[in-house]
Amino acid sequence: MKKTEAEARRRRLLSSENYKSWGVLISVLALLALLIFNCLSMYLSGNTPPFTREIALKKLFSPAWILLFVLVLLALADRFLSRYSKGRPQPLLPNAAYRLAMLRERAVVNEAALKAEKKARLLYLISGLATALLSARPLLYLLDRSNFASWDLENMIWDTAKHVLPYALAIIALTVLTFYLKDAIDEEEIAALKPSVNIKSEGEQPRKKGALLAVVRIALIVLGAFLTVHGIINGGLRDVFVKAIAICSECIGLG
Amino acid sequence: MDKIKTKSRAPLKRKLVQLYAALLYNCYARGFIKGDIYTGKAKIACVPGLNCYSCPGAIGACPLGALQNAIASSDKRMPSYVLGIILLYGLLLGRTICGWLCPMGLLQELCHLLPTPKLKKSNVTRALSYFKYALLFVLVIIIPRMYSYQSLPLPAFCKYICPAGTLEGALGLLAHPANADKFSMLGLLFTRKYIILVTILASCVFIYRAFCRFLCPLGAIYSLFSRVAVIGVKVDAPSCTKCGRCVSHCKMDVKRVGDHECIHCASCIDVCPTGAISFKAGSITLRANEGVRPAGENPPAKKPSFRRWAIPAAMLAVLAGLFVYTNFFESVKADNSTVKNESIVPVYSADDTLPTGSEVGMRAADFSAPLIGKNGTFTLSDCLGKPVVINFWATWCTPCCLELPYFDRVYAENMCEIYMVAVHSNLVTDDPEAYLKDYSYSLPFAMDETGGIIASFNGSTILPRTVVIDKNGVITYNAVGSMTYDKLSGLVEEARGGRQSDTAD
Repeated sequence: MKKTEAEARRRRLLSSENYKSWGVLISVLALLALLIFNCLSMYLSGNTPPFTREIALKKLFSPAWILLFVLVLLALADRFLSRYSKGRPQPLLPNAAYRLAMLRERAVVNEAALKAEKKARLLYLISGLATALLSARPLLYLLDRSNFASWDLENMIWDTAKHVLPYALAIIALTVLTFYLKDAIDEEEIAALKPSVNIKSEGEQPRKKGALLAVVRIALIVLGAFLTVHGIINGGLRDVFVKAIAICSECIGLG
Repeated sequence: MDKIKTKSRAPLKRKLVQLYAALLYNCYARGFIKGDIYTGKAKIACVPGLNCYSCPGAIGACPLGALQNAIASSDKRMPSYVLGIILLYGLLLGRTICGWLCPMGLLQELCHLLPTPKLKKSNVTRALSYFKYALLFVLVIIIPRMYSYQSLPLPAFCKYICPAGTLEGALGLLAHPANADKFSMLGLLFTRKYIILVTILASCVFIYRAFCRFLCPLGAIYSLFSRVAVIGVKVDAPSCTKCGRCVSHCKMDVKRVGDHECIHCASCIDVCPTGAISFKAGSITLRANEGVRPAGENPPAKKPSFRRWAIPAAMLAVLAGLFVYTNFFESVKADNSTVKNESIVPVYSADDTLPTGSEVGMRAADFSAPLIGKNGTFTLSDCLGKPVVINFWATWCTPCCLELPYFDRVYAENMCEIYMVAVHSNLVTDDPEAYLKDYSYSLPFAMDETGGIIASFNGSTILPRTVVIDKNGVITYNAVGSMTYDKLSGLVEEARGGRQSDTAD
């Protein structure tokens, strides 16, 4: 058993799919590094206006050539590796949450499954609390008007990024961790439920479409129509028109 | 019961619909020919997808840009028009717009077609998909709202991130030779946005719809309507065996078909073994998996050719109609209604041989403009003998508002030696007099009531524009772009010395 597992692991490591994954990772990192280096050097070597058309074309299109070169290399590498992959690539299996939902309908709940369910709830609780704690400080920053009093917009954006981005990235990392842990707990529950599968013979009862959905839709249509008409009357339409017919120089990066 | 699956041409049809939408939103061909944007009535309408309204071909407003500007003006009026439009779009289509009607979505999918190894979805991508909500909250809602208290319009997402603006707006305008002078406006902001654009497009090669999944605030808004949208992919619960093939096949970070990450591309319809998934508008089925039928059953009868071609013909008729209306009908009307001022009166100049015009070295055309907040008018010919600085601005123009303090400071320092006036555009959203009451500027403000004054200096809707005229009435500087205090002081010194600036139209 262990020998076949080891053999399967070795085959997985040596398979072209694995090389492809590593290839993607390394090429993405290399490409990003090249782009960042190129753009930084473009900036450091003279980014002060006035640009002329010739200078701008030369400086701005140089990352595009690197990108094209790397993409051609990657396409060739992909073709090369594909020739050596055996058979068709296996489709992704349904994720653990999906398989669990399917099992729950057919299996009788037992103690081990309940335990796993409690673990999942605890995970969600801890994750939720941690997310709320991490969100508190950036929220307080964003809702404090004094942080947006400066007309030095570059500094304002930089300060906002400094105060908000680390927390946003931390929340994303926490969410990733939560998803991975939830997958593991789901696999535990699946393993616990599998022995007690009891296939039901009767079909699933069709769910009645709630009248609530229709009510919500009608209410939203009425609200949308009211807001639109109100906006036409209070001058919002003219605002949209005036902004749309004027070239927003900053929106397109000129300025 | 054996089932027969037939190959579907649905992916190609969806690409055609996306292409049609891109052409429909950008059918103002004259914009690409002239290097300017469409300024007709059709721009009162927001298009459903992400399409910059500074694109030369754009005939409609961008919903995201319009929303940010509406929130930026929310201290004066509730942004109900844009909210109402987005609500109606979201309710009717939801994220079907992302999958079928967004030009940026089409571009991302075309980038993804390049044959390179691809990054598959995972828990990491699923977590990253929530980042677009943070961008929506911070850059689209909070920052414009905070700056609305200071009457400073700041569409933060458009200004710092939006790749559609960089690609369609900037590159679309700069590609035309008539906009060669706009290159002088490029700086750090453009470099950053260009890097973001290139990074996004490069990421899309490896990651399916990277911008759509992780960064697009408009997608975040439409995703809120996933449960109530009328048109989209629906699952028939009794037929669904929860095999999970639809979720596995989907390239977006969905947990189930039709959730907030689903763009309703309908590619899962063909992989469902029981045909439980269909594309519906309410209770009307627009597309189901017709290939899934019992063995021995005859294929459905082909529709008569009239019915098959009715919808494409109607779509082409709409496109053709809009094309003709925007490019020919409205343009002809605009040409006929433009007041041709054949008798431009030049400001007196010591050198009568100089032509009158808008370029550096020419005599400036005389004009009169009513003052804002005071009685009287500002007349250019009354200012001969001293240099004149004219700043064209508007309350809705962020760089204009940011540079007014510099003009005020230069005016205060040189009040006895120069004349200065800040002329507001004829396109008014907020009352300039009410806007100026919050500030204690000393320089005079005037109103360009018809748009003729900026037109006489070869200006258009792009702001801010600064014109410097020397004491003899000769233009020494005329260019679009933001001013700094040092640059403005330098220009004033040059005009006082009687020399011409190198940087001009």
